[in-house]
Amino acid sequence: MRLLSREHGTTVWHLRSGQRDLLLLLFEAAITRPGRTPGLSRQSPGLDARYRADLAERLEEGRAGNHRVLTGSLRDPVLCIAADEGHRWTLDPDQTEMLLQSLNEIRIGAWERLGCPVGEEDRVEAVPGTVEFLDHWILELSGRFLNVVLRGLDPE
Amino acid sequence: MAGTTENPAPAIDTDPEAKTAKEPGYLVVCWDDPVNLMNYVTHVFQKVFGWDRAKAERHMMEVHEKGKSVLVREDFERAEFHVHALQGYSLNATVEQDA
Repeated sequence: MRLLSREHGTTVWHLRSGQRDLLLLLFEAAITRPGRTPGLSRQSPGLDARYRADLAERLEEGRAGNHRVLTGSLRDPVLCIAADEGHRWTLDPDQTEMLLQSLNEIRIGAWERLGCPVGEEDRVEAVPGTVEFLDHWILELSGRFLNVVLRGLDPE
Repeated sequence: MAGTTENPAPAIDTDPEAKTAKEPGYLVVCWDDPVNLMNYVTHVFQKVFGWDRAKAERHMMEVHEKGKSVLVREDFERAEFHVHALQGYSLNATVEQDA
């Protein structure tokens, strides 16, 4: 995946052969992830109690909406055109941010399912064919896509 | 986009805790976490607050090195809106009442 152009916030990406299907797989994996319920406040329990449920609901709606838009876009033959032995994928500015949000969400979901490993000592060798192996794969792949998008949007 | 959803104003009129909700007495705080990438956090701060890269990086580094950064001080409605936007990007952000 690489950025081909960026004009007025609209981005056009080249997806190599198979990368479109990998992205679709990632978005489908993310949908199976139970939503987290982040709080609104750490130090004001009253605020947190009042607004937590509403915030969680709106975040879940946002996540589901992002995935729906992105998978729809990847399957749309006008927005994701077969070209150059792969696909040329066009995203408007909001959709580009959705892509970042979704890739990061997928990455964090896999990381949490793996037990939130931080250092090398937390790393576990996953056996191929296991759920842990799949989550390692999701973590690695979503991280790579995320970095490609970030480098495209915010070059050093 | 999750981060730009228009939210209805919270019902604050009868809430004693939020009597001053229209005053800029609420802090949007971003807390450190071990998973979000530094360049991702910088990008999100730029996007959500419209900051330039240098300012976004300063706050990102403060989160990383000190465990948290106060991003803005504003009224409750705006603070809640910004926390919702930041959490839409999976950042660990909260609203705290300024002491």
